[in-house]
Amino acid sequence: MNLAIETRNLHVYYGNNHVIKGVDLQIPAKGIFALMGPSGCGKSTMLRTFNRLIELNDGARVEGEVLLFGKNIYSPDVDPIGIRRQVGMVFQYPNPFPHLTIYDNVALGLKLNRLLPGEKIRERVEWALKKAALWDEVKDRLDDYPSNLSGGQKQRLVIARALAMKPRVLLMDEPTANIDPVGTAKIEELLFELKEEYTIVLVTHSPAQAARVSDWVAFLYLGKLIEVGPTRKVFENPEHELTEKYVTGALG
Amino acid sequence: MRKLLNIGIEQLKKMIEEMATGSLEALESARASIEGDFNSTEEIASRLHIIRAEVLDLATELLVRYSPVATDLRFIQSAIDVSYDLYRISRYAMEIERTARLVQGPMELSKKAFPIAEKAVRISVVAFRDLDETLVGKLLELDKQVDSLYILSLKALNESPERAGDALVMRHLERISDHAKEIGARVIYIREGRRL
Repeated sequence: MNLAIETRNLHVYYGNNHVIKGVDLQIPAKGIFALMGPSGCGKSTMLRTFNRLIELNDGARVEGEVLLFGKNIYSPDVDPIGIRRQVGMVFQYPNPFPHLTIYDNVALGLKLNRLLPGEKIRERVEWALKKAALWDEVKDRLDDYPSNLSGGQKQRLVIARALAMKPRVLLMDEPTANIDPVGTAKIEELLFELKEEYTIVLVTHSPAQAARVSDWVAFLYLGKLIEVGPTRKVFENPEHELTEKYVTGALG
Repeated sequence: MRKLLNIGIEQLKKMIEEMATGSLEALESARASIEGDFNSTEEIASRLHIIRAEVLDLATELLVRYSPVATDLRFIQSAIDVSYDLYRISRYAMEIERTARLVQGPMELSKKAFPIAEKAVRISVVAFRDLDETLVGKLLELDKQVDSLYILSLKALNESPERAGDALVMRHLERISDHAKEIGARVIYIREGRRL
């Protein structure tokens, strides 16, 4: 199996707090992999180890290995900025830059990183907005500011911003937690389209969302990996009692 | 949410229990018919048809409202199937009664197979009620016994065509026992997630 991400005996500490406890996980390339679990189980922390964003948190310490397409991203010779170009991230709160236009929000990363010559940037912005299923809604107002967009549109703008960098992996930390049902449905449909070309790792606290959109799912509980497998298998016939309790709503 | 789903599942269990009682009554009535005592098995089958529709309605509602997963999902799926099995058992019982009314002749093999098929249905009902997979082996064994008698009834037709009535009834008993076995398979599915 072609793996996008693999963790080996991964531990994460915040000071003395042991948050991730020896997780071995394999995430196949091209598809949607959901990390689910109750609040505080470590799923967002785990996600942040996949692009070394965890290092921005003072006091966070990572042990073990995280392999991105076979290469350990915690090797001393690896540049975290280069990793973050390959691994895009979308957060719970849509966070477009409010002082930049819709166009500039998508173009910013390309300009700052000098990834493309000026004349090619417009093409890439259009491509990214189309990929994020937002182009038709904003093509006539690219110079507007994102404050006029709905929550769902803002989140798709952020996805377009991430896609513009042509990442290989997209990390999504509860991307629909603050979006209404219509916006949520559009983002879920978008994920379905994107998984043909990208590896998407989706953190969700909603088992129902994991069941709807993912191809594989892992259940984390108190920093430990309890169960992982194809989504249908885990939701139809979970092997671990804790998973059964979590997906049926009987946990806690 | 969990509690509301539980209430629905309990209601499904009650309906299946009612269907189980009905199918056993239908079988008893059918057995009496081959002894010449005719009852109203058809009425029981009609009642079960109505309950089955109610099971489908409730199961659909639970699926739509609560998106159940894991054991809950497997139970609801199985309740739909078992309601069909129990309804079909009552229909075969009705057919036995009709056959006994219209076709004359000896019913030796049927009389022998009837208690076995009834036992199979009774065990399947208990297995489903208690989700007791240890009873499933017994169901397979009883199904084999009924099947052997059915084969004998078919062979007997070559020598004495007047035993057609016996073979027709045996055909229904074979089906009944097969549905009992299917109920057992659903118990395994609910308990272990394995489809037999």
